[in-house]
Amino acid sequence: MAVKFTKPEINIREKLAELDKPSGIAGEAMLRAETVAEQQALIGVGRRNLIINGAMKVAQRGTTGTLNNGGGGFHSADRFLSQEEGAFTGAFTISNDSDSPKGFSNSTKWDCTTADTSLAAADSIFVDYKPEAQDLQHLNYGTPDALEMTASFWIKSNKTGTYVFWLYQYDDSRQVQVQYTINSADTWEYKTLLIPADPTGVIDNNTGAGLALRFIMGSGSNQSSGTAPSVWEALVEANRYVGQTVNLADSTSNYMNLTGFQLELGKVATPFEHRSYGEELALCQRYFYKWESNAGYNFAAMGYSYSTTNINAILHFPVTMRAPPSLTVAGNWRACSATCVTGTPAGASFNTNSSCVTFACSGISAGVPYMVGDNNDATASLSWSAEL
Amino acid sequence: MYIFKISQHETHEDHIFSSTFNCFIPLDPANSDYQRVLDDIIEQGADCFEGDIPTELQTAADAKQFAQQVEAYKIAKARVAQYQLSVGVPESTQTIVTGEAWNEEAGEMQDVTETVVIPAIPALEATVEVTTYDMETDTSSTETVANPLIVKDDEERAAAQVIIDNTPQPVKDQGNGV
Repeated sequence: MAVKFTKPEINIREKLAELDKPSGIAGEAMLRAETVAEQQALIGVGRRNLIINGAMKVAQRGTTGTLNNGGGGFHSADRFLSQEEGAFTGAFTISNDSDSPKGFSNSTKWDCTTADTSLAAADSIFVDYKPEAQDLQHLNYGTPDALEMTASFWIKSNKTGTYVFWLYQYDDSRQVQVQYTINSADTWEYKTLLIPADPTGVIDNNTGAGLALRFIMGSGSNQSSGTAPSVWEALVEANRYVGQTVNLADSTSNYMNLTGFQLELGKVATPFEHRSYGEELALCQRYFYKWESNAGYNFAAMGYSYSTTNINAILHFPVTMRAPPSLTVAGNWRACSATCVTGTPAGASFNTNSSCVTFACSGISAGVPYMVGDNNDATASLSWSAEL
Repeated sequence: MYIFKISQHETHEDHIFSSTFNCFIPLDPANSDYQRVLDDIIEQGADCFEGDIPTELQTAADAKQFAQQVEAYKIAKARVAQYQLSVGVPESTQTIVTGEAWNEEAGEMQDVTETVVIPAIPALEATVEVTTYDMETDTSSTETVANPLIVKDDEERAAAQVIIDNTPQPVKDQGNGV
């Protein structure tokens, strides 16, 4: 009996040409890798994301806040600064939201609560992230070897249209912007933006702000009437936000959610680099650290009475802070030795590693060790800020 | 308005205390709250401070304000230097060096130049026609109005000129690199 086999035709010439591909041993290993994670391990990409808290996990100051005229600040997610300029008459509530794309559990939401339907010429509303200058030295800015970067993030809004992502380099006052479009309302969309290299402006090697990475939510004409800077240029006010067609404040129905923000070297957006909560928290604490009671009668620091009216208590920071921080005190306090007395914060010293807080008390003896804590006040807190 | 005062304590270096926020702020330029104190001193003067503003802080605020004024002056100057939309730019020529060639008579290498004509930019029309259509009466009307681009250009130039005019001479000197 004869058995007949049929095979698909093979172009021998093509197959031979493929053998000439200069893949090398490493290339062959890369081709054999079955997952992106394997490929990343092969090329040893390591830590890629220059953004701290890009997944919006850490919110030491609380999970809600307000952005209005004069009311900007670090609300909700750590490291993200919501701001307005000019005479903005609208308002946003900022909150930590569980609405998030697959692979994330948090996002930050800006929800318009008071509309400003027509932004005045000098008005603008935006969200800033500022990386520290010394962490950007490998970008080689200011040299012919300056490197391109890629920003990627997940964003969702009811307002479709063109938005501007603006970058500002502080040390030489330079700017560039990239525009992106939200295509579908109420839908999580993944955006990747190529950031050009800047061979001219030098980012100083210090603890100051290296860049401002700014998500624009609306702009008046003063900062959007020029020519869009698609390559790095010296700051021209009128060019900043050219192309921003959306005013997210024009209706109280408007909102914007953001998460998964990553900034990395190169022209390709790689998968988001997830870090543990503990790691993100430690990275955030270089810029802001909050001791909170959360329950009554918790102790925060050890101290001693150096007089009959003052106790000095020292608290060590979990990580070294960027700069000597300012201290904000909330709630009611007490100091305890054999007995407890109430105390009022009366002064502080500032160091990047620790802080000595003075509590004014009465009815104490000098030279006695004390423990300082909240006086049955779960809202008591000590907050140190070395933000950029 | 934030009320600040200098907090002097026997065991600590002097620092700023904000009674509004119950906040202790180091006298350190790297601290962003310290920078906000300077901004408030620039905007509000002595009103934001309990007692006299310390000389060190006032000097720092003055220096910051000076730098801000220099920056604003440079921006305003650049704005005024842009051509006026209602005037346009006349055609001009520019001589550029394109290379070098040996000059037999002079016995030396000399620049080879080329004259480039920079085309004129015509002035915008002073007025434009705006047609309004009334759906109820099914009629349209046309009116002539000042060109809005020129109006905006003139407004921005005027605003920039006001900044220049109000800039103190030492700031101008710094901005002009004198």
